Amino acid sequence: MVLKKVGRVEEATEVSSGIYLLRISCPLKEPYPGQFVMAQPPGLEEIPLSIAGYSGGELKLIVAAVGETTRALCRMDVGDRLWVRGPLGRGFSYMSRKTAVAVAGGVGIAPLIYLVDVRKREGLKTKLVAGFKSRVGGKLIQLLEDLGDVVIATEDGSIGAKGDAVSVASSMITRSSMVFACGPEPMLRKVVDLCMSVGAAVECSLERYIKCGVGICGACLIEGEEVSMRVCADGPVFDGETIVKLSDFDKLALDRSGCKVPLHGGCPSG
Amino acid sequence: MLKVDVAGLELSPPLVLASGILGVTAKIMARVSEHLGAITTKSVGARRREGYPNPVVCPLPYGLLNAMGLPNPGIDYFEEVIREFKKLSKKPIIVSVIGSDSPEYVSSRAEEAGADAIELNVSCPHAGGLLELGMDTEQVRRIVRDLKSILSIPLFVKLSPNIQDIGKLAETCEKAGADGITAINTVRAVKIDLLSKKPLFKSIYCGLSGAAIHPIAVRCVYEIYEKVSIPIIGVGGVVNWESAVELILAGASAVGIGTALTQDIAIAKEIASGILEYMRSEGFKSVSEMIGLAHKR
Repeated sequence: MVLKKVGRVEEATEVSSGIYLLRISCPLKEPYPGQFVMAQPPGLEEIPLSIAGYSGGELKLIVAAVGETTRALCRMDVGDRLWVRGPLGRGFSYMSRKTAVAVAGGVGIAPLIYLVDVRKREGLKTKLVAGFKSRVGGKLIQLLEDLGDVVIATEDGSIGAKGDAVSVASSMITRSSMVFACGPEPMLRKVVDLCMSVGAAVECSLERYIKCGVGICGACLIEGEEVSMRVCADGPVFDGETIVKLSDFDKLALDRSGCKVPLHGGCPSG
Repeated sequence: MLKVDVAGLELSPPLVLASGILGVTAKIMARVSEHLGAITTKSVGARRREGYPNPVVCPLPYGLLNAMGLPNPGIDYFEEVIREFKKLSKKPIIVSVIGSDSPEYVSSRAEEAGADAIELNVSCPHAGGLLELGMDTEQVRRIVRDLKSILSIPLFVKLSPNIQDIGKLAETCEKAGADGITAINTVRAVKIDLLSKKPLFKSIYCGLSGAAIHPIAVRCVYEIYEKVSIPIIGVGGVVNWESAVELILAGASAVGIGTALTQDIAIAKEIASGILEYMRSEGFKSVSEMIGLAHKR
């Protein structure tokens, strides 16, 4: 089992409204793109976060300040310390030699930044389509453009191409593509449907409420008629063939008591 | 060769999924049950509980600390999970019942839904007042008697190592009618967070599992075997076939697996084949020949 390590904040920059880039010095076992860490600011909740970068003992995270813990993380100063447990889970088939297209929705961009970066280091090209609801900050755009072949899309057309990431990416996806995706599940469903109809290979990073992170508590299960997967240990990355069998996908999730409820809904018995 | 009868439950191999590990949905239990003789559910009460906020675990070089806080959806929801499991798997399902939350009601509902046995949890070291309950011999005796008067399926009582005399309490349970003993639950512990300088877990107390507690589990099973004739499910720090066999020789009829699943969800397969190989090389023809061999009687 991976032990917790102390990380030191080297940078916490707001790259877009409410979205922060954290650089944390913390020597880890070299993570694979798509893996995650459990991060805990002292005295607060321990939360799962996708790895957005790792190099030379420095971990990068992209965090949206949406809850108590993420806000605390984003407010951390240089030199502040936190607990980091990882890398955890199974990542993307990032060494694929097919024509790679990465499709991101919102902060789902995080693991794909690392994927594109690692592939670049390995001499492999990736087209990245980063979709947002509306205009995002210049620092975030800069960070994405530094990666290379990037198309930015906004639903309202305020910057980049107008439309959602999947529609914008659809013209790039062919039978010989390898598609990597991360974002909200309705968007991932569109990606999977598109790839299945075209015959492209696809892998998506999924999200559920993760507690133990090591595959034994059962909090993050996602299931179908004949399949039960632990997002933290069997995933968080799953291939299209598996995802189409997961009837919970884009529909149901376990709540904190272990009751299966509509995604973002409440438990009927609670 | 790996088949064993434990209080009327036929287990093959003699390996059981320990309570608190993945026993949330019917499908994951069915998936895990493939290489096990039986599965035990997460502890269930009459009421829904969310458990504690994260962090709920802390891995250590020699084991795992946890303070999940008995999250469960309540028996009204969970009885459907039991029913669904019975459709998916032929393996026995032992329903773990929280000793402090209407155990009679929960157990009878579980039996109606198809549970093959009940495991009474009076030993969680960090939630539900269960450790205190498990130290109160009179209370345990009363609950066991009450449950036995309404149940027709076997009743196991899961005991804590954090008590004065585990053998004596096991004897009390046997006299009150228990059909088996499960031992041990996690060892009560506290973790101090070096950054916050406070206990890491909201509950302050947590439970230690994994390799570190195996010798304690062996001691407890050994002491219980000296005092009772009902079967024992030995749980605690089983990470390989060697640690499983040790518990059997100490007196366990079957062995629980929990924390080791962090290494591999199918680790039971490997442990079962190791036990089989040991039996062949030592000339054992059945698991029952090995149970309690470490004792002089």
